[in-house]
Amino acid sequence: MDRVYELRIRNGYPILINYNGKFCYLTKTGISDSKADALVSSDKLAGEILLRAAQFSLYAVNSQICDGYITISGGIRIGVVGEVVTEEDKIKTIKNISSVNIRIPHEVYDCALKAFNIISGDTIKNTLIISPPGAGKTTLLRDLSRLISEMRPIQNVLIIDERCEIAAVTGSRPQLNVGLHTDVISNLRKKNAFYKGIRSMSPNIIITDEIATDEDIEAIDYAINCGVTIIASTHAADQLDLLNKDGFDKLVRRRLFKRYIVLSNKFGPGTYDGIYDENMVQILT
Amino acid sequence: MELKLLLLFAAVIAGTMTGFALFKRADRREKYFESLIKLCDRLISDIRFSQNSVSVILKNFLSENKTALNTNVNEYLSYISTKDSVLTISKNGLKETEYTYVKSFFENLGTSDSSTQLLELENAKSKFNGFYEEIQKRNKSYSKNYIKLGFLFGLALGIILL
Repeated sequence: MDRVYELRIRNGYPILINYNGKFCYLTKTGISDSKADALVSSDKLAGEILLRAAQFSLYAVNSQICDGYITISGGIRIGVVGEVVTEEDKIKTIKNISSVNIRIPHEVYDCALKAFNIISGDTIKNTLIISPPGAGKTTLLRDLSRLISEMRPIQNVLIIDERCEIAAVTGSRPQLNVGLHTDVISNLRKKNAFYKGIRSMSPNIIITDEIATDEDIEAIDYAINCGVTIIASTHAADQLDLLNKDGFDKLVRRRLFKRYIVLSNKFGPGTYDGIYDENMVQILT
Repeated sequence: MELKLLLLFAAVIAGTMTGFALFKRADRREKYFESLIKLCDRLISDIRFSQNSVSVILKNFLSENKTALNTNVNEYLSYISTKDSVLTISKNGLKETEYTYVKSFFENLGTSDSSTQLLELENAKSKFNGFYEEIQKRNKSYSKNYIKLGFLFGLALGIILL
């Protein structure tokens, strides 16, 4: 189970499994590259999985379903697609679920040790983790948060967990170890979460996942101006690809981030491809 | 003579017991629907405000309710906590139409967003209210007479047998 990262169930089609970073088919006895041996999902399986994951209480998780996923105990995130029901341009729910994507989070203790040693010193440096999807950036952020909690003097960390992936709060506490001195804001857009979080929790460090929009970049700018250290991640193939993304070139030019950590899947999720300084000069491979 | 008296006594007892059984059955159905309406109210208020999961609401309900509905609630809870893909709801002495509605009530529980779920619960509650009022009306007219009629029927049967 340690190497299972994802299960993709599409009604009527073979079930896919991401095992150790590579997709293959799920079979009765394990995994296979051959489609012929694959277990095929029934026409209702995706909907049944969602219903059971929601403990037969879809009404309680409908707002999450409208965002396209639910998070269940253990931090497992279930992405959902199907027929979207809208009312006055607002998503009311998703019905006739056709596919689900079950993502199993991993706590890899000390996987961020190398990154932590690079970004820490007297203070933690503003850091951006660059990685393609599925290369372990969320696992790295989670472990960084845990490692920062062990620093002295104590640093108060705020995780802005818009998609409930880093800390996976269900009920009233994180399901995954994000450290002793960490607060978590879940399910709130980054822009609001940054403003609210800085005012209400006055953190030393904010950790957030998948910054993508101008609004996210503005929120980061605001936080850095407030004297809060930022550790964030974004989707990009590498540091050069980052420069082609709207808004990010400005961030790089202004040298808001002091460290860039590039991850890849080369030798499995979490492979360090390079660590760069604020001038995009490689300081470590 | 003693045998005849014994026969008469047995017929009276049997008639009275039958009447009592009918009375209990009618009473049980009335209480069943009364509880079902209470359950609907509980679900509606909980889904509208605190949005607890169905199992939490039902378990709380079970601890306060002591009617035959508990059997069905337990069957539903067992279904959602196991890998069974078929929900079995026992008939509990209900008529066919009543049973169909009760089964569909349990089948639809928790399977939609809150506004749809609330609408479904309101509809189910109104249907159950209809059943309840009908049973209550009939019980008012007949149920208390079941024992008397059973007694008289037993007595008459006993006399005939004599």
